[in-house]
Amino acid sequence: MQLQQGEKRSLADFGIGAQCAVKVEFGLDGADIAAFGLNKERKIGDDRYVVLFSNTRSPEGAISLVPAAGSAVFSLELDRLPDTIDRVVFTATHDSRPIGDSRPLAVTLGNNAASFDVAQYLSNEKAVMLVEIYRHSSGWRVGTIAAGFAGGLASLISHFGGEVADAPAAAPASAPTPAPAAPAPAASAPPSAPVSLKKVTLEKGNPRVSLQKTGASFGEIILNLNWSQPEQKRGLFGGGPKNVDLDLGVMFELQDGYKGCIQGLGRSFGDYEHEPYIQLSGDDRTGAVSTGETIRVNGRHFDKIKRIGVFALIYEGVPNWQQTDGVVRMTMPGQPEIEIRLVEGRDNSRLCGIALINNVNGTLQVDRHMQYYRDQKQFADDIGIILRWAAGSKD
Amino acid sequence: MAVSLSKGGNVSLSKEAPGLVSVTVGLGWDVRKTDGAAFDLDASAFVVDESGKVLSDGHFVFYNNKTSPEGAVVYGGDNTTGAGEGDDETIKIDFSKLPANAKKVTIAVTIYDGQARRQNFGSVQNAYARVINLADGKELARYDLSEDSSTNAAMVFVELYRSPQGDIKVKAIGEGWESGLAGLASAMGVNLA
Repeated sequence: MQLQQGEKRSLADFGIGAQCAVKVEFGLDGADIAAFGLNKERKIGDDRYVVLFSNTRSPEGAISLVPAAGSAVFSLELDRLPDTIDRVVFTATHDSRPIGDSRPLAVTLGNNAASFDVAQYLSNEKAVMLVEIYRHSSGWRVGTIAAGFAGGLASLISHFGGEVADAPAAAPASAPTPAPAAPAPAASAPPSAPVSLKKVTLEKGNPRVSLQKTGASFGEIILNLNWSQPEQKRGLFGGGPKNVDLDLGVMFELQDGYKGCIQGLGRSFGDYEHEPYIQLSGDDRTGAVSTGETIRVNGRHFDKIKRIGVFALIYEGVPNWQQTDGVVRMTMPGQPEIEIRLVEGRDNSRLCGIALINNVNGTLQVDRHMQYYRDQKQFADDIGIILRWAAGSKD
Repeated sequence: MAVSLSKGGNVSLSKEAPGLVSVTVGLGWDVRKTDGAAFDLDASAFVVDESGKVLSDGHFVFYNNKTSPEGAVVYGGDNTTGAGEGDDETIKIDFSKLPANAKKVTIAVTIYDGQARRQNFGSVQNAYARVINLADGKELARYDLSEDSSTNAAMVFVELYRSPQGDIKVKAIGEGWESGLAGLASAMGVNLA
């Protein structure tokens, strides 16, 4: 039977049990077919469950690949997959050409029990999720996807919560078994660590959150900016180091009219105990610091703060937000962690206005902003904090 | 714990919440993460009579008609403050204001421009609709739209009605419509421009 895009069916509908063959046929030189074993959050929890030409077998053998010219055949033994693997997503990627150029591009399940003709649904995606097989309360199911990313493999990996260097061409040249890159003893959390249930992610469709004080005050509000570093590279797809350095800064306006800019540049670090009650914790990003950049806001004095515009700045080198995988997290006692990822509208402007924090009658309201600007002044002007820019460089 | 609805099933909301008068139907889904046109899901409500037709065109409540004439059904539009719970669209129903000839309120969910964009419920992640007690915000029933009717871009989600005993009940319909919101509205007796 022929499946349509978006169709979801029980494998049992096709008479398929725990043993399932998934065959991907393609006709495009250089196309790579892979199977990603993902956790409940649809992220890579364990690299060993990414099965592709350089890793043709998951640890227990529940997913294995036999590559051939023009096809890739995966054998699945679903009942042997660990519980942590919630779904297996089959993908096709190409370094330079749209996957839709591939004719044929088709996925077949079992002994021709079901097939899905993917190419008709594609446009310019260089990385495509073809189908997925996933756990459901009613048993294992198959869903057809046929959607992906023009950005290719890097975008796909990032979608799955992993990191990849920007030079996929370098990957096949590296050793087939990735050498774990000097794991820092303290850094136990991989990029796909389980997320806290209390986390709020501000996204395009969900751009605002309002927080009430849980006690007498908001306590210490911590803004942290982090981005991918060469040291944290996953070995899987290899690649060279990046030279991306981001600075975190804020524009602020207090209720008494005092306005300014806090950033590493110009050493305007602010003050935690006195006005403006906002302080940057140094700017010693050397690559050894895994925690990124931090600005602390003294929540005990939140009543005196009118608003804060949070931004990230690339001040050295060519701005390439695509490479940063930047994420800003805001934490404070007794409140959910708020996260905003720098995931869209990336361009070559130096400054990314990330979020606006407003004091709305004592309620702390965070709005995702995600717009790019030439410089601090343009950002400040846009959000209506008018500064005399000569003051920006005083100590 | 809210009742998880499955196709064809019904549940008395008044049993879950004695004295229930008003409910909110909330609709949510995940932002599209792959390339391509965004997913725009819309909730709409039809207040219908015995024959299954709308009481009047004004009793088709959706993004272009936000309130039924007597104010019993109100479209909440995009909810931009739905942090945590994250309903993206809401429809409120006040059963005490419904006209006497209103037999039931049918709630539909459609993907805006779904046919042209070749989008269907199966492509949208974590799409759900739920019924909430307006009085205390407690969730009474929930329906996962992503698994059923996955290849359609419009579906009748639930019907809410009063039982002969006066209970407010919800019935899961889960019927997909090929022809989108326009076809659905016509079938419900709405005079479309």
